[in-house]
Amino acid sequence: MESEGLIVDEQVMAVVLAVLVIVGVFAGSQTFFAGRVVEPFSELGVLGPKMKIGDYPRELIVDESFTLYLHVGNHEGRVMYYTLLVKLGNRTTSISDEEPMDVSVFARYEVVLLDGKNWTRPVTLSVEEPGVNYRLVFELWAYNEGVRDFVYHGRWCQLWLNVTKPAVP
Amino acid sequence: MVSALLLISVSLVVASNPASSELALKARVRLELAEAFVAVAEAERLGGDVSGLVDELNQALILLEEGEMRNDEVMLQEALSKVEDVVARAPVVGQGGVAAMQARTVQSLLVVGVVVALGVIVWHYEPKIFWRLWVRNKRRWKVKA
Repeated sequence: MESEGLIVDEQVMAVVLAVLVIVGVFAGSQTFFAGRVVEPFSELGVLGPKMKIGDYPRELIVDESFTLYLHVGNHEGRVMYYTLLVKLGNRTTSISDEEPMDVSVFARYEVVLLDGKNWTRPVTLSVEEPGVNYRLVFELWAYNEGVRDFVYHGRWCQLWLNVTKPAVP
Repeated sequence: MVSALLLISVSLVVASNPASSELALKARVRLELAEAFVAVAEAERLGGDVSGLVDELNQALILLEEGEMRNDEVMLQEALSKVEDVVARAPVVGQGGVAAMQARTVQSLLVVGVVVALGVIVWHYEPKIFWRLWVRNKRRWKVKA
């Protein structure tokens, strides 16, 4: 009888220890991996004048002001210093995830964001020259501590615009 | 001596031309902003809570943007003083982060130690305690054959 009791005790003990080990390993791994970002990324978005996706301007008159909302989100796992460059190109100017658009900067907005935070701000823009199929491009650049300068982050959005001269009265 | 003279002459040129002094101020704010960001990133890497520093940097960015738009030197100066404040405070925040990280490490080690000690105690004393409690619980029981 006593020996049976001892066998049960050892089995119970083994289960208790196994549970303790599993809980310990789980807690340890949670502590070790806490705050690690598996796939770091940044968000860039352009919202229409009603702060929604849509109602973007398409046809404009020279010097006509229009409002858009710029949205940037940081999921890089660390604090980031972003610069958003607005450029005005056309059908022939190229842009990709690797190369920014090679035209002069139209407007520039900057923000420092903690990990997990986002930023949305209104911007009012206008185009001074008439033209067809303008590409209003928004590029996201981030400060690189190694290079000690802003580096193109590979995120961009665009709006197609037609800008006409005001009608002569 | 020559460099001091050069510095004085540059200062005189800058002082005599408000536009160039404003340009120099903008350039200085931008340089300091980059330096401040590097300091904030380092403080964060050390485990410091940099949210206050980030808020101040963003205030400086707004002041810089408005100062550039309105050509307002006062705003640019204010932006510069905020950025310099961030540069000065960042190492302190970083050190705070190091201390907090050490405290967390000690806490984690203590938790692991307590779990291990509990395991050993359970392993060693549990059968005795369990059967003692079992007997105490069942002592009024009568066994019929």
